[in-house]
Amino acid sequence: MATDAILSVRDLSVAYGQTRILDGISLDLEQGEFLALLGRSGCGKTTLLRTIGGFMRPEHGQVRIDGVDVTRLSPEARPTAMVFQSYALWPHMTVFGNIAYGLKLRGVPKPEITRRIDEVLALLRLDGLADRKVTALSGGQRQRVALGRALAVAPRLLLLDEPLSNLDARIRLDLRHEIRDLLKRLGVTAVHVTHDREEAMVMADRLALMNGGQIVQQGAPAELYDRPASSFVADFMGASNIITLDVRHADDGLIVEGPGIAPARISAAAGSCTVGDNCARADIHFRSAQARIEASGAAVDDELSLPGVILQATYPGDSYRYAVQVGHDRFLVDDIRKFSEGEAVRIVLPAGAIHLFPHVDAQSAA
Amino acid sequence: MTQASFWQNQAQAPKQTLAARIGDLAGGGVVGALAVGFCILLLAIAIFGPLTNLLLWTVAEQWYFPHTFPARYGFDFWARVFHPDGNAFVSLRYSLVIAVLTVIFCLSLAIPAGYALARLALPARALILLVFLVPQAFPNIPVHINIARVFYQLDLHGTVGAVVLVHTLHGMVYAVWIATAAFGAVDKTLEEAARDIGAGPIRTFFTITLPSAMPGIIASAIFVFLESLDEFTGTYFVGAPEITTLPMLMFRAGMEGNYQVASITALVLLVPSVLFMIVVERFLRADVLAAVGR
Repeated sequence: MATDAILSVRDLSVAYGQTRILDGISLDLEQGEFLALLGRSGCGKTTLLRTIGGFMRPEHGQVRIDGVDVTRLSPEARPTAMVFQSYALWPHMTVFGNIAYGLKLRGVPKPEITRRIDEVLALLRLDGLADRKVTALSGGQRQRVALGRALAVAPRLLLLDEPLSNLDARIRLDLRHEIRDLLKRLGVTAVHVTHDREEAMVMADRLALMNGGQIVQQGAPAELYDRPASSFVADFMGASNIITLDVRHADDGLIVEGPGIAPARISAAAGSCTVGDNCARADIHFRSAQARIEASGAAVDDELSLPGVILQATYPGDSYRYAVQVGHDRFLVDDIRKFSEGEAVRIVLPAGAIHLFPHVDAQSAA
Repeated sequence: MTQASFWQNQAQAPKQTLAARIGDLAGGGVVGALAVGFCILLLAIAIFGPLTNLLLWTVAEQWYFPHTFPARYGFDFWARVFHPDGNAFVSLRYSLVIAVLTVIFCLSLAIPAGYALARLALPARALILLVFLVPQAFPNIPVHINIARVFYQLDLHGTVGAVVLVHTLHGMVYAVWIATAAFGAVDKTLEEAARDIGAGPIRTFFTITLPSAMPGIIASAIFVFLESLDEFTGTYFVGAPEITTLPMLMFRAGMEGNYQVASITALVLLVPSVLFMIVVERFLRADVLAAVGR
């Protein structure tokens, strides 16, 4: 691919003994780009990060940084710096000592070290804490020291291993924006591992969603959100209401129907079900916020209408959230209007809210 | 009594202190209180009796058989023991030199051994740890007699080196076990972070791993030091009569009926033990302590 790629991963496979963790991963990252590796625990995202950092040896495949093959190099020989999930700050050193460690190693003269650390501390809003023991810092401050330690050595590639997962929810929300802003200002190229979809979408330029040791979809946050390539991606990206229906082809679109559900003509639905023959049965994914609830009325063209009963009505803020029973399935739907429990209603899905995928059995999907 | 009422009674019975239980057994009331007092007195005598006796002997100048307490008090014997030409100074010097050498020798073996046992995938790891316990497990005297025999043949007998070797044998179990636990308690990601930022494995060991394990290492050094300071049988078989450490001096004084000198020496030996135990208590973290021997 692009010749100016900072990081280029080719067909990377990693195994722990007999267990295959990564299976043929390929990835490119350009100067200044911020990539998030997203996925559930055990999907291999951390293993990929640690293999890029040099802490694990791949079975086969290649990792190149700045065009140099680093696959067989140890961590200290790679131009990468990692921010660890546990921060891994050295407790026997001060904040200054932690951040200065990498600079001292590189033989940077003392006055230059002091100057650069003052700069880093100011950048991370840690002024005046240089002589503090790291054990005397708050979680958010430790996190910033860990980031400072990695940034101080001016790495070609910054690796972030769930850097926010040990922090309070409030601080986490602030730091997302702060870190993105900082890395963009410095033009740092970074790979960020997280299981938090929102965090990944807010912080990264590009997402790589992983499952079972493979990258299942890559692209800008909006792309994965609006055009998920598979049932798994749609589910992970928040379209987690799923109903399985029969699909027929019509002149200009698809006819969707099911037991107790009136046939609806859908002109254009997102997903991989537009070519008919592979999905006589399809999984329809939709987001709680993109559906609405109607008390009565007839179905309109280009909308799917699911008759059901409200089981539970809650108010998490902004709008009501309803648990609606449709046949044997249960869905969560948000609507700003008030309905009461036990009321017979219809869930209405406009064509834009529908993501259609060929039906997969629960067993094979797992 | 049914099962349910049994549990209820258990729950209702208030927690009893040992003293309250003794008082109840004696019938409660004044008699009970007296019984408790008597038990405390017995305990106090058991603990402080010998110590009081030792303290009395250090300041007794004359103490003959029929008398319960010394006939004359004074610090005469202190002056004699600590006379610049006296045996005590020679013994103190021997004891300190041997203890310091033992610590250095022990740690120079225990630090690499502890690191290897904690971090490398060694086969029969548990067995290796157990081997260090063997010198403590066997009866001391036959072990020391055999060592003495070997040292005679090697012409090592009666040298400081011989005594240091025997003390090291005993100190190794503390040094290796505690060092293994101390290295095991060091978070691996601390080392990974150093490697990641550009440090090689050797620099990582000396700047990150060793300083992180240092509290445990210091604690093990103190244990080895105290063990060496108090060691008697090994020193006796391998070092006597050339090497006279403080315990040897104490033994000889005691055998000669010179209780004043023996008691004063004992008191001197007590000082580093008490001081160091306070230090150890500060240095040895619970997580290290919990991992000892694992």
